[in-house]
Amino acid sequence: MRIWYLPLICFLILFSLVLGYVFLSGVDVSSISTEPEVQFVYATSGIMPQLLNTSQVDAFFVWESVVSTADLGGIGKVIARDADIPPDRKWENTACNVLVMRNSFITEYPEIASLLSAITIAGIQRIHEDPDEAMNITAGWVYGSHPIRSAGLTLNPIELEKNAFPHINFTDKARLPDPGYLQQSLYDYEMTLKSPSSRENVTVYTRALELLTGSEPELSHIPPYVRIGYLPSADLYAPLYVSIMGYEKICDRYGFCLVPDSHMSGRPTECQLRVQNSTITRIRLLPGQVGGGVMTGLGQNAIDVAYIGSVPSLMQISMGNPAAIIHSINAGGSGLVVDDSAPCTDWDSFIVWVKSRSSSGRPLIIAVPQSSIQEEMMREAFEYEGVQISLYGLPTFGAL
Amino acid sequence: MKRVLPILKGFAIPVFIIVIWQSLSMYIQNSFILPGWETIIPVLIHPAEPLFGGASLFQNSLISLQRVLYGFLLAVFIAVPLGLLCGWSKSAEDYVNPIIQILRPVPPIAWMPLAIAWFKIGFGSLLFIIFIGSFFPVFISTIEGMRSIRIRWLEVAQTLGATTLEKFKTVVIPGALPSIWTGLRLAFGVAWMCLVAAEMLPGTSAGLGYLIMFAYNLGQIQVIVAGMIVIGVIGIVSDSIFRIGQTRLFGWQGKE
Amino acid sequence: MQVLVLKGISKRFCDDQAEFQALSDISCVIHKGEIVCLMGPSGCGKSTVLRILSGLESSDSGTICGSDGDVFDPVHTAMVFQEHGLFPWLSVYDNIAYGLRMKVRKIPQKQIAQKVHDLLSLVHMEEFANVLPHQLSGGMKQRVAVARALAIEPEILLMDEPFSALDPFSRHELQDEVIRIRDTLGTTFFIVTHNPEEAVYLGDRIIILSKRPSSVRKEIEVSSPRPRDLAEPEMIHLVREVTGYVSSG
Repeated sequence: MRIWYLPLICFLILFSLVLGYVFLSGVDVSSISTEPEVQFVYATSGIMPQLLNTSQVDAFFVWESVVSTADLGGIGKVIARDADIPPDRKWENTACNVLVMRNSFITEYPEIASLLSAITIAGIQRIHEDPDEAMNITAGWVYGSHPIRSAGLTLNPIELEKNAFPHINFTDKARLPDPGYLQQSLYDYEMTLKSPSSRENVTVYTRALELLTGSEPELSHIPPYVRIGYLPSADLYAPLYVSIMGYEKICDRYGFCLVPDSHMSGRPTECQLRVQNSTITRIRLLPGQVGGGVMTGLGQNAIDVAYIGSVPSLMQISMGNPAAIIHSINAGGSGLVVDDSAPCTDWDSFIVWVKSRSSSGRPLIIAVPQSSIQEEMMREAFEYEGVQISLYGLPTFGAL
Repeated sequence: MKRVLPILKGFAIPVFIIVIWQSLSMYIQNSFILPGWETIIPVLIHPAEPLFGGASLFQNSLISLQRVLYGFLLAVFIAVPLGLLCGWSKSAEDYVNPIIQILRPVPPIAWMPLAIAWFKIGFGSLLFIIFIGSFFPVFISTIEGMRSIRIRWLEVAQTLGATTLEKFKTVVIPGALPSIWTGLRLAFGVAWMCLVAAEMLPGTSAGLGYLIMFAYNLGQIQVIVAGMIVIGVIGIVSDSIFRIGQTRLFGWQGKE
Repeated sequence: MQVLVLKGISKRFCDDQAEFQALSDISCVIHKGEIVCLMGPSGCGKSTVLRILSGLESSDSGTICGSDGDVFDPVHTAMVFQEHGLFPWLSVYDNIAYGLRMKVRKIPQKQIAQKVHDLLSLVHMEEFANVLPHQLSGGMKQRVAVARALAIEPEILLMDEPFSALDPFSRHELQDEVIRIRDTLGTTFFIVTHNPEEAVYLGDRIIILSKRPSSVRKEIEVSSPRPRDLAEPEMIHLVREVTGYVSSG
């Protein structure tokens, strides 16, 4: 009857594992602390409203238009924007998203790089000239202009963008953030594997400004195609969307523009770079999931140009990704959302809530996108407020 | 020597791959495409050092292994009795079979959005994904095992005076066990793959899948490769444990 | 003394397409300590008779009475099948002990061990107690199957073509074993066979069934002394006679 030993063996394995785990985590002595604490959960922007709505997190800090979806969709209230996050309005004019190019691409096709930069700047100008058109284009690109269902309510994408746009400052002149707190959180990893030659490439930007003020493009060396990576779920890339969907005005004014292949779709996947009405090269638009992933694609020669978050690009560049930031495309655009019933209305009352919940033994759980400027902002702000951060669901190990 | 030779043969291709990999990586000089082994090996030989300020490679593996064992055992404790019931009673099978057949082709990862809503981010949803992944192989091979039981064995048991319960205990379960064991082996493999994939999704803060995703976001391909190697090694070790168990416990199988 | 009296046993089988009468009217008597061989053309329902006696099937009509004249209880039978039917996951020892460990028997553990050892020596398998069945030869497996059936001390041991799958040497050995066991333990044997030589060699009596729907066609007493020699003219004649009855249906 030795077959009956089988369940016994299974139980023994399980038992020893549980025992081992309890033993290993039992020797933990480090995490005893009297400082207030919050817990971070890494999540993609899309599921954050769901997490808040199902009370799995107490707050989330993410970009537009997710913030507006939660706000208008009755999921929660926005209690703080970029300017409200300490220390002292630091984030108001800090680049949230940037245009990044691979160094080898810049070296090989400097004029194409400058043209793409110039078109992006032209897109930013168009947003300021005609915000209504920009909102329409962005609504169509991000949501396909279909009504959005959100926790029982149906939202109109245009209304949503009207709510979101005032909180985003589209600019090519925002200064870059310093992702020091994020890098510090990875403290024990060798960050300085390779010292980056430079984070920014000013020559491309300078040439772009020249092109915008009438300098003739010198098209001698042209790639067969250019691959542009971006995240299609965010409003923050509106300069890209507007420069493509609103190409006619840019063509008329500057003689160069990105023309979508299909005028039917609100979110084209291919377009052409045209200079003086002739097609120079083809552009492929590659939607990504997370900024870090797009950045890795850049390093893998799978993407040439990317519109992504400033922090993921800075972090990877500092870790040796051979790319450079050309200029910012926006600042701001983030929002801190809590449940409607949460006992806070602004950052200061939020911190009061954080501290009271922490002292009651149930620290707040806050969802942030991993390795994003939002995470960096939260890390710096909580450091400023003297609040400790731990990761939700991370088992504590002591002596290991 | 005769024993060593097959092992050496098994090592030949991995060594070949590593050599090709290394020479290509030295030629390409792009750590995002082919990180050199001089960057991968340091990650592997310091498994206790924290990675990216979080858990170490060893801790991440332990966390993943622990999750997979919980989910796997939960699936076994539900799938085996249910499979035995469905193999024993035609009526139970008629009830259960259609829903099982519909749910079976759904990739476990596709449950993730719902799992997060139902079982919360973190442990609960991962447990559910592993459960879904390992339930079906165990369930189906349990029924298969029941089918492989010879009617003759049941008749012998009956003529020797076994009651229904005794037949179940002394013939059905031992007769179906080899097939159930094969199911467990399959299920553990599936569970392991599901877990790593599920850990790549949001809401986890540890585990090998999380480590790989984090490394991807930071462009640290050498950590990804190290993680893949650990996943593979744990997979092969667990599979050999099941295989050794199979030959030790069910040596009679296919030989009567 | 009669251990088994069958009166007018009939059995009908239904499958998806058809329904047929397997047994129409089987009546016979089996005495204690007899070796009775049951023969008949193929498909006549020989095995069905054994299955009814062992309780694996029920008869549609007719009565089966035991030694006391009451309805016969299949608990008093054990069956040996053509392909041994040993449990491949149990050792020889555990296979033999199987029936003894069933709750109905209520036999204490110590007694079981004693009994299994006796049976192992009865079938000359002492050294193989801890061996798994797949490591044994065909003849050895069938010895174990016989020992397993004998373990529960059946009044009557039913054997369904028990030696037909064996090589001739093992078959003769096992046939002699059956006779020896009957002589030592006094067990009654009811053996289905399709081999006339086997029937003549083993049987005290041979019952021959007719074609389907079958009834008892002929009973032949074999009174020759043992050990029998099939080369003797009398035996050759008997084999021929049995063959004639079986093949003419």
